[in-house]
Amino acid sequence: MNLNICPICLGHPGVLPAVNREVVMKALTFGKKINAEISTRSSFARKNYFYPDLPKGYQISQYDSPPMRGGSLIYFAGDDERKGEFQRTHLEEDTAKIYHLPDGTARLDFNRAGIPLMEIVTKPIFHSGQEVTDFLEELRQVLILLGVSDGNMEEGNFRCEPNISVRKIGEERLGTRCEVKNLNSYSILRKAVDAEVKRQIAIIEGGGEVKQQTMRWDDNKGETVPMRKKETEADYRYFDEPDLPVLVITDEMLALAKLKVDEIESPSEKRMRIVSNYALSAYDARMISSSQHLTDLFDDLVKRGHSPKTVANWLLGEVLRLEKENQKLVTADIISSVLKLLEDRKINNTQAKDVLETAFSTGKSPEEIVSSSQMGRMEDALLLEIVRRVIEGNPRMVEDFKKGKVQVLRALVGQVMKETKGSADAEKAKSLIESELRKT
Amino acid sequence: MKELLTLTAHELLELYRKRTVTADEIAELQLRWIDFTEQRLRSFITVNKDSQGEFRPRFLNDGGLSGVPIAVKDIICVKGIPTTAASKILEGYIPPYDATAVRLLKERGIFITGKTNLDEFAMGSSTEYSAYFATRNPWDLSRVPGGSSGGSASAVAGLQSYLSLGTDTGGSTRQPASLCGLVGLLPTYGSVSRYGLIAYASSFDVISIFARDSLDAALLLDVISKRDSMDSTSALPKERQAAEAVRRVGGNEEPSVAGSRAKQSPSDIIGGKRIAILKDFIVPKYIEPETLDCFEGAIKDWERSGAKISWIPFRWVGYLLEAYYVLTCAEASSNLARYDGLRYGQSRQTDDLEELYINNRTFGFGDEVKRRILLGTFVLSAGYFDQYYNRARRIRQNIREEFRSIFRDYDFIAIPTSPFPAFELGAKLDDPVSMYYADICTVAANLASVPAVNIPAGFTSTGLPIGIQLIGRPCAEEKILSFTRAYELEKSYQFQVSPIIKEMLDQFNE
Repeated sequence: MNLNICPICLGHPGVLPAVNREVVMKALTFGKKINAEISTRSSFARKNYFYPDLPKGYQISQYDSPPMRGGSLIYFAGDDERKGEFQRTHLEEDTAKIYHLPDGTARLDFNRAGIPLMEIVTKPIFHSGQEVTDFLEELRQVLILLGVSDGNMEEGNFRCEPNISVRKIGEERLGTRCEVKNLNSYSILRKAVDAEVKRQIAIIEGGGEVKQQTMRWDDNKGETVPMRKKETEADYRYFDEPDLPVLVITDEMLALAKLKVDEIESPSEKRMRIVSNYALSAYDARMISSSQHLTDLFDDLVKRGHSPKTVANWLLGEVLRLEKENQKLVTADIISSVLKLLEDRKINNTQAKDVLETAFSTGKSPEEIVSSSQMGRMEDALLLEIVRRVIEGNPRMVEDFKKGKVQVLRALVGQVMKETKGSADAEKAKSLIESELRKT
Repeated sequence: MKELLTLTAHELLELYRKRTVTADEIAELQLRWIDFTEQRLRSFITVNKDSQGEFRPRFLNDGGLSGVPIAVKDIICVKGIPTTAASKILEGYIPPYDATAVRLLKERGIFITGKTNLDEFAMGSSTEYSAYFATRNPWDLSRVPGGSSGGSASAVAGLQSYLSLGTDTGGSTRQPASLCGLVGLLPTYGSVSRYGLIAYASSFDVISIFARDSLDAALLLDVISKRDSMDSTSALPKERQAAEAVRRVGGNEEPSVAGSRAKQSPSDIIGGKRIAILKDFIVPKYIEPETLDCFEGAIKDWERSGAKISWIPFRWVGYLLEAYYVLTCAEASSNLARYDGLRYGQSRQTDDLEELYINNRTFGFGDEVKRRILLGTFVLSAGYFDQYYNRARRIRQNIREEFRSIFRDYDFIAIPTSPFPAFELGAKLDDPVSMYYADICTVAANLASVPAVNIPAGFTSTGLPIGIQLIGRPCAEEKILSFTRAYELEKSYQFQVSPIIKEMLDQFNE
């Protein structure tokens, strides 16, 4: 149903385009983030061709004068730090969408016609489907953080069209490339990229030449196939769009963009910061930085003075588990309280896990839970009493200890723990037992 | 009462103010006259018979043109009324919106009399390329009114409207104004919003004005010349107050009193003005003898009033038409790509996509339009782009600079408007290029994006109107119209009604 349409997006006689200022600002924040070379003056061009999804018979784009050139974005492929490099970024308008129905007819959806797009072109630097999706995920997160895009591939507001070519090892020139379209998930994208590479290699090894075509992924066949659209050597007859004046980028706009950029931290930046500032393992750093939520918790808790290693363990262990099971987020306050109780030795590790879980599900504060339950730290005197009782009750173990069997100590501690229902401080119990035994 | 049809708009407004007559009465009279004359003039593709409904005129007594009947060229969108661009491909198309200029007319209570005939998609110089019918010149019904805004010209000259909107891309308002004895104003490009103007050549098109004298032209300019956010190429340095400036040009009175708000006498305005005559145009090769005589007569008048006339060269004369046609056809080939019958307009059903495009556009467009689309596509295509389009762009840049340099030393440029008076219907249809030469004197102003005006200057021995052209700096419309107003007053110029129309008026039973 064509609901979000107007004479302009339908290309009615007499209508004129206008540049969307908000979109320009969004593009600038992206350009600043990737440190692109930004042109203070860029123009729009008409790309002329006939197709039902192109209402005006031309698409407004930016051909030889893109507002941004170059730039780069660090991303991680596994644990390897890589640099994704960009060629150019420009603005253009979206076409309508064609739906080919099984009965042979086609329907045109104009709701998205005329919507502004930011086209980002990378340099040809990726070598596998996995690398591509590793890079894309970093890019996607950056775009979401900057407020530029919703980054949703299924909804079509984050589209990727890989251009793929192969060449023999040692060959400097790039081979003929083919574009693959209509990929709306990472897994399909990976499959398509790898399949297309295979297809091209097979052609060349069979003595043939790769023909420049537009392909699409056929899930049934598990391979890329040429698209239905007739592929001719298109002459788009580009010329400067007379209805739009030169796009001027002012210093104020650039300053505003920089402010926005300084507010955010990309996933790989987070990860690198966590790795360099704290002595965490690469794995831990990767896991924590992969989620804004975990990173925020980590930053917060470390700031409160808790040990980074402990925080990392707890986040990646208990916290993640609880959140996944309960589909709810744990707050830094709860975790901090639990960690503080642990640090003050008021509870032990096992107890801490329980406290966390209880606090999470009941909403009570960890301190409340500890003081109101049996889990209180035992008075030293009380503990001493229990220690003496255990010693009296296990004369043979005491004899063994005197004989030099030190491992008996552990069993005695175990007994004390049993008596105290696990609420005693094991370390304390051990030292009390030792001192009592030496007295006898 | 029927004599009221021969007045200028500012004279009519006086009567409204004095309550001698109402806007409703005039609208009614106007429509009856149109009905009476249309068979012979054929100015309109669609007449707006609805003067009582949503199009009802209102006199607002605000100093503007409220309540005045005005015709609109059928290439400007009026909501709810068919807009065809005189093409079959838009037959029956009813715009869902008003052009900004039209909205401004409606806001001022102006009565839109109807949509006037034109050359299809504004491509032509005689209105004979309309897909519907040819319009007649009110001075000689066997001759063309000029083009492409022929219908708008004949409507005003034929008393069917007091003013009209046309468009001027290469002369399409000035040339018909010259052939029909009217004031034809080409405003500065960008000073009238193009939103709602069906595009022919985006960087040339300007909505333009036909009027019976300079003051009327200024009044209408004030209404339609406003900055518009819907048109990114629209720009205006300051609020238009052309009518106020023109009104200050007094009749044969005492010389001016010091102070800018005081009236100025015509000789004050004309005297001292530095006028450049581009001598490379003023040659028999381009201009026919009677037109040359008339032009030289006007120059002598100005000299007598104290203007400083200089004859200077213009070395780009030989490049004007070529650069103009290459650039406008290129833009047109792109602007007309949207007419495929898929979303609006005429369409022939077929199963094959390519056939759909071919059928709709082959049968929908006329020959001249097809010629220009082909030419435009060619000059933009790979391998020819540099040789034609790019080169034409550079020439355009040179012409702009040449004008800028001329205007550093001169106030106006004066050249004829049309190389010849109205020619006979059919006379130039065999040779499209000879038709293109009708624009030789007018395209320069469009290439340079400067304002220009045609004013009636005389007649041929057989009684056909001859006009002359004044060109000014960007946004100098007030100065130009003040000058032409001064000239009108000096010569006691009155809007002339053709003998044919006079006769019809006598026979008209109100």
